[in-house]
Amino acid sequence: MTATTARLARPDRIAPARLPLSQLISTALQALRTRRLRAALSALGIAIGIGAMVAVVGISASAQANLIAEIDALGTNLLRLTPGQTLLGANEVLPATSVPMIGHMQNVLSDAAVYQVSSANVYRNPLVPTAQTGGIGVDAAGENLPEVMSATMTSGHFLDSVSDRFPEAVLGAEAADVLQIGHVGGHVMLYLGNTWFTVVGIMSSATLDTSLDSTVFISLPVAERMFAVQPNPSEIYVRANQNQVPQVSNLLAATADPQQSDGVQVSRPSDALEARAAAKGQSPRCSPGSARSRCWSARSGSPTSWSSACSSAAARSACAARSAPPDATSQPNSWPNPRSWPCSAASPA
Amino acid sequence: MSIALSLEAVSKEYPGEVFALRDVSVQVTRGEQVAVVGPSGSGKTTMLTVMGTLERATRGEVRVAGHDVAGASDAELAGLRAHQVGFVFQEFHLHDAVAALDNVALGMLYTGRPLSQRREAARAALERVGLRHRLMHRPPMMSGGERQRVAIARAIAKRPLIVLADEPTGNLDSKSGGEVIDLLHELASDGATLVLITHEETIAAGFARRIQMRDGEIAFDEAQ
Repeated sequence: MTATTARLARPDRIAPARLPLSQLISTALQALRTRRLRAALSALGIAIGIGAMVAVVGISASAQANLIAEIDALGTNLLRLTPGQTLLGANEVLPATSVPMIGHMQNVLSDAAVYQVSSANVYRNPLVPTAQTGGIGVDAAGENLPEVMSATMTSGHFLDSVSDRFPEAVLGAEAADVLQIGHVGGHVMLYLGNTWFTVVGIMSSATLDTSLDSTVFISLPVAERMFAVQPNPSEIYVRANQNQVPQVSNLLAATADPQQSDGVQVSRPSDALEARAAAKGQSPRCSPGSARSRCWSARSGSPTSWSSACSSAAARSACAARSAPPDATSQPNSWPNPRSWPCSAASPA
Repeated sequence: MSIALSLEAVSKEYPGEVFALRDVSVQVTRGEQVAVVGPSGSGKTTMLTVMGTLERATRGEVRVAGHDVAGASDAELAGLRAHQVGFVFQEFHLHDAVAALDNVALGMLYTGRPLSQRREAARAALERVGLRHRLMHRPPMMSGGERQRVAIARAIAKRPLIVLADEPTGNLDSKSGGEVIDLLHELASDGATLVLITHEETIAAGFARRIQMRDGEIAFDEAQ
């Protein structure tokens, strides 16, 4: 047979290969059935892989969930006022009347002010070089600060009426670590502003504002008497009615300083914490307090609404970043530090 | 008579300017039985894989059952192999975990026929190769000759136009090998086109047409 005499077979359309789904499944099952050891080992490998993934994700998610649960437990109705800056960059000062004015506001459940004692540093004893302040600041505070901050005492008690008359001090959690004071049993003393103070309590970490952890608190009367502190708050913490948080926030700046309301910054500490959790890759779960969270800009005088609750972690992060102090954005792994705000007085060091 | 396989100036080149096939032209008519012989590395298996559309030629025209392979998609070539081409390999390539019947039925998987029909065709093919008593035996329970007969049954069960066998007796003793070759001749006599690669001159002598390959080229073709 030669090519010249031959003719090609009919070049019809090629019949396609077909594998119906039912046969695909039955063939797959047959493969599983006939090679059981291989199937079992494959399943084991897949299970180990998935388990590892779940564990890795779960650990992170669990930590975040714990943080969010802790925030919810502490309450999301805490607001913080701090003095800002003028348009020319000068530091504003909250008036002494701001605390009683806020206390009279409707829907304000409680409030506590903190007064920076910038002229005093604290040391374990007078032999410590003056430059070694350990980054610990000194603030004057009222008796109800732990209550407003939902903070507890790990040892002793907070400032009380006795503290108004005698030199007594309470340590924040980090300050206690730095000063290596674990409890207040016996007669523990501190050298604060060239005076010996008795340590009467140690606070646990203030989750909603950890800048308080590196602070030593004394009473305002003592601070006024010994260090000539003016009663102008450096921070005011306000607990608002849970259902009226935005409304209260809108009024806080004008109430605190009616003449210079633009110079007051209002923020919600729980927002920054939730934004931090969201920035770690998982949107925090919705809670009654956070569902309608907003961030406020007292300078603009109007709230910036989030488009939807818990739906945009990026938006929340950006919002929190706006409401956070300037240096907080440059230190993503650290808590906002009010001491470094422009409105705050110089570091105790 | 119509042409089942046609290679026209076909070359197969691998990277590094290695030519497995060089300007090979060959035509095989329908029902023809062809033996391809040659030393190792002469391009026999490459030519068979090009004929079976398992590989595409680098240059030249390849037509299988009248279809131009160069213009066909991979899916179309899969269809062409599923319906028109049966393969028999030296290594059998049987599924050790399933019975002979299902091994043969599995060879028709891509024809789209239901399992019952495939099993019916597989039973007929196995009976035809003399393995009626081994339908439900798994390959490890069979001799080498029986396994190769299962492989042959798998190749012919779908009644392909072309059967390509690559040294089907390479793993068999002379007696079993002879039986397999006789079986292939018998099956091909029904009208299938058979192209068989072998090293053994005695086997090639039983074919009406022999193609001798050397260094990727056809050194001798009895049809020319």
